[in-house]
Amino acid sequence: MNIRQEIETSYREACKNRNIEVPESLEDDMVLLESGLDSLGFAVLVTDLEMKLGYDPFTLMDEPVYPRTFAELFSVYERFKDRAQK
Amino acid sequence: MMRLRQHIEVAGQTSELLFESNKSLDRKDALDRLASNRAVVAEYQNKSVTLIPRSTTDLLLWLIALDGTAQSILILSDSTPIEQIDSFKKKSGCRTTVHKPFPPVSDSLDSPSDSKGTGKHIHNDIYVDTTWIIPTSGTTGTPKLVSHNLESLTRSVKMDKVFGSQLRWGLLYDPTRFAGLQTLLQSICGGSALIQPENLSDPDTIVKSFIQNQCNALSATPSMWRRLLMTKDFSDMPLEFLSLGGEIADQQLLTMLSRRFPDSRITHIYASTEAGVGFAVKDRKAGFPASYLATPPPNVRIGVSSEGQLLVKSEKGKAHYIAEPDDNMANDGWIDTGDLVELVGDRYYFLGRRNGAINVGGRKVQPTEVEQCILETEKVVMTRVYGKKNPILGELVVADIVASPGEEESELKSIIQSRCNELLADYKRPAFLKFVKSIEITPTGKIARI
Repeated sequence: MNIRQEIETSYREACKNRNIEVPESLEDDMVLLESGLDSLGFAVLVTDLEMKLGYDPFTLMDEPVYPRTFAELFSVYERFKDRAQK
Repeated sequence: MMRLRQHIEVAGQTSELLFESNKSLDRKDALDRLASNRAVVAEYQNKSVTLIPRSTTDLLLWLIALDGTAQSILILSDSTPIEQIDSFKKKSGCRTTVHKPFPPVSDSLDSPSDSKGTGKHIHNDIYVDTTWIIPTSGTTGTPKLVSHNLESLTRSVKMDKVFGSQLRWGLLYDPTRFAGLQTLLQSICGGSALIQPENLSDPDTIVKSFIQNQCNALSATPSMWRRLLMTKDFSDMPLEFLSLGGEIADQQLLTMLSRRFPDSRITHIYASTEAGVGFAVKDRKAGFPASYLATPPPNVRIGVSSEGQLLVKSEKGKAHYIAEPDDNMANDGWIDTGDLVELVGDRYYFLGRRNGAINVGGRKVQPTEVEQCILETEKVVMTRVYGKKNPILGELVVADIVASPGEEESELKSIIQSRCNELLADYKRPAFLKFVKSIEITPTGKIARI
């Protein structure tokens, strides 16, 4: 399973569902809040990834971390990948 | 006030009363069994009785025997957990339990043909106004006990026995619960027959058995109706009277039933166990006319609180909680139903339960509002909307979907999505649609909430 690829796919789907223009390429330094995805879109993205990857890093972490950039989002998922349920 | 037994006596005695387990019980059979067992019944005179029947036949015969004889009857389903039975008995004071079958006609001293009775054991013409005690369905928590009398329970029952003699009611509900009891009382007091299907878990078998037994009147929840609509033989049912209750009746379902049975009478009923019965809407349209507030249907008054909650007040009969704080009955007889309504044009529409809301980032979503939006898509048979925990917003809206047979899922998904985008605020739209084969229905016929 390629986590990066899954996150990219889900991100694009979330943007599409929220009628937000999907960025052409998802760069590491892209600031999530400036990408157009609002909190509802972000919430949907997290749940979508939980269903696809089998874990939700935001409920697994002891200290809440809210990723700012796309790279940070990716690293949060990377950090908890061993906790996947499937 | 006529007692149940008197309703049996004045209807045509050869008319069928109940069909269960391939056996037919007519009114004369019932009266013979009652007459033959007067001594048995006399044991319960002025007692407070907990009735836990083993079959619909037993329930029916014991009710006819005990109504007017016992001080109060607490009616419980055979599937009630034992610790709950004990707690209910304690709360209600109904300490004597009746769980045995109603005895057959015996060769005792009482003659079966003497159905008027000799008055040896029971003062036949002096009836007690028996209190009937029924638990609420417990949709919103621990079931509570509600006290009724025969008058409050039969407020909406049609007593015309000449007309009623042509009706054969199908029983889909548990007859020990409020909705099932309504159907049972309608059959007894209306001079009609009641058909208890054998196997309640298989809709195909139910429909076949109803067709075979010429069931022409049926009362069910919208979820039950949708399940029946999926069966092959549904349109062959000779239905003349259709009634929907217990859940919100959506326009889609009302239209579908109207198309299948164009000459029938279709009624959706708003009722709460607490209020006895509420009111009926007969115009085949969802919700109810706003004019009901000023000119209510018989025996009931209807109001809407400033928070949009439906209030009802019964004009006749009595119903109150037992051993519970009477919070929502304190207000001059007005009962807060906990159901939210919304005025659109000249009609009120039901939005769902006040406390069943999904909380999306502090904004409340009524599952039923979303469900109704999805159901308007003709290709959806059933849906259940619920909240899924989410670390960002607390909860998100998720919908389980049962598609009509042969529907392409991805196509249907985009139809539902565009419908929801069009009609619902963004936080109310299901973030996820899950296609499932079936959705569980509770014993009371409602969608099992997650």
